[in-house]
Amino acid sequence: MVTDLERLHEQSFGWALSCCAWDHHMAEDVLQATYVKVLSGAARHGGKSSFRTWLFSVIRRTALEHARQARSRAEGLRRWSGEVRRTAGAEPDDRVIRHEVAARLRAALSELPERQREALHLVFYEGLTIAEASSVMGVSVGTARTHYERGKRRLRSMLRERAMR
Amino acid sequence: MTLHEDTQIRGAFDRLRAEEVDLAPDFGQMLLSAKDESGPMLVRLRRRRIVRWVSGGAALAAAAIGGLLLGGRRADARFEEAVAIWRSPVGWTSATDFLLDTPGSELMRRPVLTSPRVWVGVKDSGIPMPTRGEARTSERNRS
Repeated sequence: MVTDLERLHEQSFGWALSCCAWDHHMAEDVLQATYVKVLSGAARHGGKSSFRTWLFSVIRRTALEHARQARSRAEGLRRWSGEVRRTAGAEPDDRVIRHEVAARLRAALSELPERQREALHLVFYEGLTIAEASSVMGVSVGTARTHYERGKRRLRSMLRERAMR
Repeated sequence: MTLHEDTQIRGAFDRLRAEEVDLAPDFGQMLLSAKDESGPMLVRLRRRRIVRWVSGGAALAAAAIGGLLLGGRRADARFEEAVAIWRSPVGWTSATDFLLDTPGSELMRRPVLTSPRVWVGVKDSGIPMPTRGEARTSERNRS
């Protein structure tokens, strides 16, 4: 299992970054928490899907949990301080190197609805099939395909707009 | 969408991946700290599992005992009821009684041991009624 984790480490981190809206710190926390879950047996691979698909779905769930916790923490802080603060993860971390094409894609992806972003990331970045992506996202293949097609259309027009600016 | 446009998107994603690969934290270090963290988590998980098993077992045992008690009480009640029916001379009927219900069988039947309807009228009229013993003697004489 550790060798599988090591083999997929970079891909997993990329997926965690995407799930955390490119918040580097949060992505690291999420990946660490995922490894803890896997090693402690809190999350177990049932063998229904491939290890990679299963691991990505655990990362996705963990990121959602973290985001929920961060939101409630930010809400508490906002209430306490009485002012509106920007939530963590809204902007990409400064540590993320900003290559023009990559930066444009990242910005465009951030504007896409979550499901569409997930579908595109899993297929184009991680090289998963739509069926595998649907398993990670916890939706049917048809739904994943719809998100993928719509996302692709929107992303294409967004990238074109950004290139013309 | 054309294949060319797909290739463009794929290219942009490849660039993004190339950037992010360098940002990935060291796997060994992450694994070590995950192992450190997973120790207390394992203990918590084990404790939670034990609590779950014990509470599940207790619930099952309680349900079994309750079922046994309830079942026993119901069986007792049914037995009492059967005995009460069997004891009463007129209440008990055999399950095969209907086989004797042939045309004219009502003529063969013994009269029911209750005061006949005619006595009600006589009682109201003030005529002295025979006691139960007298009624039995007259019945025996008739047969």
